Amino acid sequence: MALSCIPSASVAAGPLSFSQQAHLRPAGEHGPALARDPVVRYAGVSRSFVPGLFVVDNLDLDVERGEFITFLGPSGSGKTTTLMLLAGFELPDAGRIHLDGREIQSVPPHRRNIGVVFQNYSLFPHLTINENIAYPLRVRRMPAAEIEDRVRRALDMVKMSGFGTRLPSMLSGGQQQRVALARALVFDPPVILMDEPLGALDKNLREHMQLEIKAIHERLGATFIYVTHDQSEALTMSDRIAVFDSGRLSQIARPETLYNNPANLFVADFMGDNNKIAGRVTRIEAGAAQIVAGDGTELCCQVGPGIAQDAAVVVCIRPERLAIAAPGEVAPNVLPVTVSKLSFLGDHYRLYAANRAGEDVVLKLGSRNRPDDCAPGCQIAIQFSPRDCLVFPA
Amino acid sequence: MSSIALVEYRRLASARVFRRLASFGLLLPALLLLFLFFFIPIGYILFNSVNNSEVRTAFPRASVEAARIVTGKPAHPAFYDALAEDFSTLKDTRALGEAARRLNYEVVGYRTVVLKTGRTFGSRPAGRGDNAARFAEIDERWTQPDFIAGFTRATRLLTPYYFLRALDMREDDSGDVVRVGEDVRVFVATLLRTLEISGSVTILCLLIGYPLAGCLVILPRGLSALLLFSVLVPFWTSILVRTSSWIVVLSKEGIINSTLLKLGIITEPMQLVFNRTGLYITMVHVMLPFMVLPIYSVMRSVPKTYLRASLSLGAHPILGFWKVFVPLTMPGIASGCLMTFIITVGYYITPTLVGGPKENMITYFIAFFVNDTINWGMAAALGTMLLGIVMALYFTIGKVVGIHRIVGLK
Ligand SMILES: Nc1ncnc2c1ncn2[C@@H]1O[C@H](COP(=O)(O)OP(=O)(O)OP(=O)(O)O)[C@@H](O)[C@H]1O
Ligand SMILES: [Mg+2]
Repeated sequence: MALSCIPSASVAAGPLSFSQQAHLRPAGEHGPALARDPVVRYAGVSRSFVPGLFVVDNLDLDVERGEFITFLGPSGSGKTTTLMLLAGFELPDAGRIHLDGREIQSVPPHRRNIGVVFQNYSLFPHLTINENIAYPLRVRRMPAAEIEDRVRRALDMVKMSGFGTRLPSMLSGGQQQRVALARALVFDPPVILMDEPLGALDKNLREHMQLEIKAIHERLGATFIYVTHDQSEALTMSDRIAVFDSGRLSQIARPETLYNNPANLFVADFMGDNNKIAGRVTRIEAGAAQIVAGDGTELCCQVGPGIAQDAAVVVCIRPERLAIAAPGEVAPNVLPVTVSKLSFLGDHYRLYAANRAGEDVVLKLGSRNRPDDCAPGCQIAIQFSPRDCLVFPA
Repeated sequence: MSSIALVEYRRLASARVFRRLASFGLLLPALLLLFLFFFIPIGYILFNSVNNSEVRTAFPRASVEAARIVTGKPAHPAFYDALAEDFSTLKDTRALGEAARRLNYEVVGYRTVVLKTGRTFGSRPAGRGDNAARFAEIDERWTQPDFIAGFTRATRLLTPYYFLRALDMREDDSGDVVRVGEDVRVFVATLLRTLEISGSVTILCLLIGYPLAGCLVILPRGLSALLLFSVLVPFWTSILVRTSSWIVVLSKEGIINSTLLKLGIITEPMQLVFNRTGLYITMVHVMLPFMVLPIYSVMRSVPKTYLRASLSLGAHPILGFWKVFVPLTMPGIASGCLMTFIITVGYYITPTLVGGPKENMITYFIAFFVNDTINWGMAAALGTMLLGIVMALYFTIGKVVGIHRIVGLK
């Protein structure tokens, strides 16, 4: 018999297949584990600076040709190191890196033909903008006429024509960033690496540049590997996001998948806000589990195959999936909480509360329905659907 | 404007004036120090190089008359009258000595004439004849045209004598500038030699110092600290000690020669000291810190990402080094070269001790004129020329690289 809290029909036709949760890499519709035509392939790559402490730990990763892939992760998780391994400024301790089907560990950085945009732009301060952009062409001994033509087109592309004769110090941060991008693109590298290129810009400019970089990516069709620790930047720009957790690839997936269907607690936690309620599985049946939360409340959630009877688990619910329950409502997953604060944020309200086990809970409520009776200290009940929660082993 | 606003405005304005005065007041001691210890001595040197006051002090009346002497003609009687008057009223023998020395620069032998006249003039009663005859009687050279012309030149308000002499030139009796006799042409050659030695020392220091500074930047901390220490140790040792130890090391019985002899690489001891070789070795060692330190400090401030960027753009490491790293360290190179060159041009002890007689630098002559012959004019003229060269160099390099960058601003 199915658990009473979930209609048996919806278990079978659940919108999200939780079987995918257990895998680090998505399969089937979320892209094959091994790309058909990878332009970059990391195969078992490891790198440690201190013996025994891996900054990049046995990394397997394929980057599809023409894709915009983002490395996302907290500070120190090894994103830059992974990028520098590809650019050739770091050497792997183990594993192989392929570029265009060719192993490149033994290729020195200046022969890899990869465009790199560094976080601090790294425009040569003694050269004008034109000379900076011409630099990669000059070292390739292109004819002068072609250099001039390419420099002009590159400046056009980043909307910086007319600045060619200036020195980098005469440009604003955003303008320098554009020039750095133009310089990395001008020699048509098949792969372009960008390490937190917008980190130093203010919010508006950053959002503007995100759109422009994305537009340039679509126009050129080159492969972009982008590093950031800003999750909203990753979500808006990427075809796929690779989430790094202390040197390991935690999950790689499309932005929607990553947000709606994180593979583990780390990704769930890292991508957006999440309410976490600890509990223990008391019954499990046909993809649904009965869980007793710390405060004794019975919860009912969809679960994947990784969850077993009696397992200690964490139930994650997004703030926007929580609602205030009508008084006396008899429904699954009703939690009594004590309100601590209500904040108005323009387009929504945020209700801060705590359950009886002392776990903090945040609700995101639409700005239309201002919750009544929400004075700090008052007792209310909140509710969520069994399908809107994710269960991970604690 | 309301009255309150006006009052407020005035209060602010006066506060600003006060602040400016206060900051100027704080600067005052520094300005005063600069004035006292820099501008006054330099100005004094400049003045000394054209000062012509010795003869005018000793013979004030004759100096006035000398201005009326027509070039090439014998002196008019009034000149000798004035001269006689000056000699008979002269009490200060020191002034006479200085005037005699000054006149002797113009014509050799003048000193004897003047001193002899000074000794005998009082004891000789005024004769019946004119004063011209009287001076001719004491020494006939008083009437010679070259002596008269020399006197005229030595009584002008300012004299080009020292500067001309520093360029191995002089003014002849007809007022034309001509080169001095071949046997006494010494300063131009010395000046050129000074520039040559300083330039070579600078280039050698750059060739050794640039890679050394690079090592200091690249090497792991412990090693680079050790290296920096060994560059700096000589800095903290007396220059005299360093120079004399080089003499010991480089001498015929020194370590280098004896080692090479033992190894059989040479059969005769090499002359490594008291010649150009020894001078270069010692000077490069002495000057190296002045080259290494500015370059090192600039190199350290060049971010490594520029070289990475150059690599990622496809440039070979050596190309990136030339096209990116060297230009970015240019302020350090300029400042190191300038410092090395300027200090070397004015160096005295080491060239004097280690160099041979053929390696005399301009400082040797400055010291010679100051200490031995007490010819302040020559010392000042040579010093001023040195100053001029250094200033010209400073502004040329400053124009090319930017003064603010040489002195380390921005
Ligand atoms: N050259 C190095 N020597 C020693 N440790 C290093 C070196 N480079 C990186 N690390 C260490 O490796 C870890 C990962 O560094 P990395 O720069 O790849 O992180 P990141 O994900 O790019 O972080 P951030 O978002 O802060 O840029 C860090 O703990 C860092 O201290
Ligand atoms: Mg990083």
